[in-house]
Amino acid sequence: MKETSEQRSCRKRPRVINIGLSFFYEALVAQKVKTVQLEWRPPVRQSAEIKSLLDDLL
Amino acid sequence: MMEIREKINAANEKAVSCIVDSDPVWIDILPAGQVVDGLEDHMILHSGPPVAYEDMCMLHKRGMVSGVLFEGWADTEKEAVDLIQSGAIRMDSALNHNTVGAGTGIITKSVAMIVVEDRANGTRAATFPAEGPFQGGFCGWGLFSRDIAENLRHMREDLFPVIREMIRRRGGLPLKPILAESMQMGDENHTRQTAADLLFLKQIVLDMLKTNVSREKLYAAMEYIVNTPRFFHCFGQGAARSALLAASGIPYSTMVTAVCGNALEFGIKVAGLGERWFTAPAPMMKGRYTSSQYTEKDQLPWIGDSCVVECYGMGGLAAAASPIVCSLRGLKMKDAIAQTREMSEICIGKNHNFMIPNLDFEFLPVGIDIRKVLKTGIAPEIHGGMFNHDGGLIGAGSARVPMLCFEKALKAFAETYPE
Repeated sequence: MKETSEQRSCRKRPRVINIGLSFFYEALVAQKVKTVQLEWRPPVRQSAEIKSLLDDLL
Repeated sequence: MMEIREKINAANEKAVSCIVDSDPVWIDILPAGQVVDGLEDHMILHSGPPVAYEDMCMLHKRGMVSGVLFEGWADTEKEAVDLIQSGAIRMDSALNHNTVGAGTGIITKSVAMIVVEDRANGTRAATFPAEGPFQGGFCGWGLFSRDIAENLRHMREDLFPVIREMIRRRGGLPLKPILAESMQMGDENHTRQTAADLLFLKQIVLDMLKTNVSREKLYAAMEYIVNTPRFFHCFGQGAARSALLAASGIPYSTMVTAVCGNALEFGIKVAGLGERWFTAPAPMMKGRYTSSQYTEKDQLPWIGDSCVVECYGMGGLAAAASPIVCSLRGLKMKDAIAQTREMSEICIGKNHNFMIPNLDFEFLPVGIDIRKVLKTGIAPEIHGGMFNHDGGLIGAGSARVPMLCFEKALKAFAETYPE
């Protein structure tokens, strides 16, 4: 059976970009996996009224 | 003509400079009736936003009764309750006056207060000192007993005349250098004042020795200062409050000037909106208990005004300055640094007086902007002590200011400045 690209990737040593919870990043670093942590947080939820006010005032 | 954004930015620069350029100086110890503006006879102040007696948490209700007994307005608890329920006692939020209600924040006219004068801003604030072996005692925890009454008398009649002579003789004690240096030595000046206490003591010890009192009286006064945990806390609050009073009322400013809770509601004030309150349900604090016997069921939602220091750019905003406080909360140093960096995103500027080694000597953020809080979704993190329902201190931790306070404030701002 022909090897898929995913299977090929798994045979290589992974390089990881972690988004969100940093303990995944820390766990991977502890296992000597090449990892970077991306500074990211979920988009802010605002009501339409607050969003409109912020557009005017900030 | 200036656009509203420009007006806000200019106003915020002015408001934040009230903090950055402040020059708080401890000048005296005086009865609250002489230094707290608007504190009248038969009036009791409390922490948090205004709340009616019927709605108060048990700690505040007990504090009101304690206040009546302390002033001698009634002889028994029952008489005190009757007097309160008759409407003869006026109650108000401490942060509606030039003071701070740490913990329960019970303040009546005879309470001895530390007086802080901000010589740059021309304002004055008064805060109550800790009560020696009783710590929070009457003012901070709302307790009243024969022992507490005797200790308050001892402080007023035996200790404070000595300390007062010292501070008046030396012409005041500048507080900002102590705050600045202590934050380079591991304090964030809300939960921890260990370095500030030592620096404070070093500043006053020689002047204490110069006082014209007996050796016994001098020893008693020094013993009170040395043995009272977190003695400097009230001075930090006084410094913060006096600067924030100057910022309050600056038109167009979106800077937060007060943050506090009464165990039911949490409230904020905003410079450009003066003395108006914007409230939401009080949050629970997360942190570590002093004993494994405690759980969240024992814990009271946020009570107290001491996060006035966060409004000044200390406490939760200065987490990076204090590895020990982080450790108390079960955090690592990197988490504390991340907390201060996160708080930078919601602040107007940096305070060049507070340069922090753990931040590679960057300055601490200062001046919480309600617009940035809502834009980023980052609520201010505030440090503090956890109280149980009986008024005991059961731990230390932190909470986030409820987002609803900022939403209400922004809507009110838009109505106040409709441009």
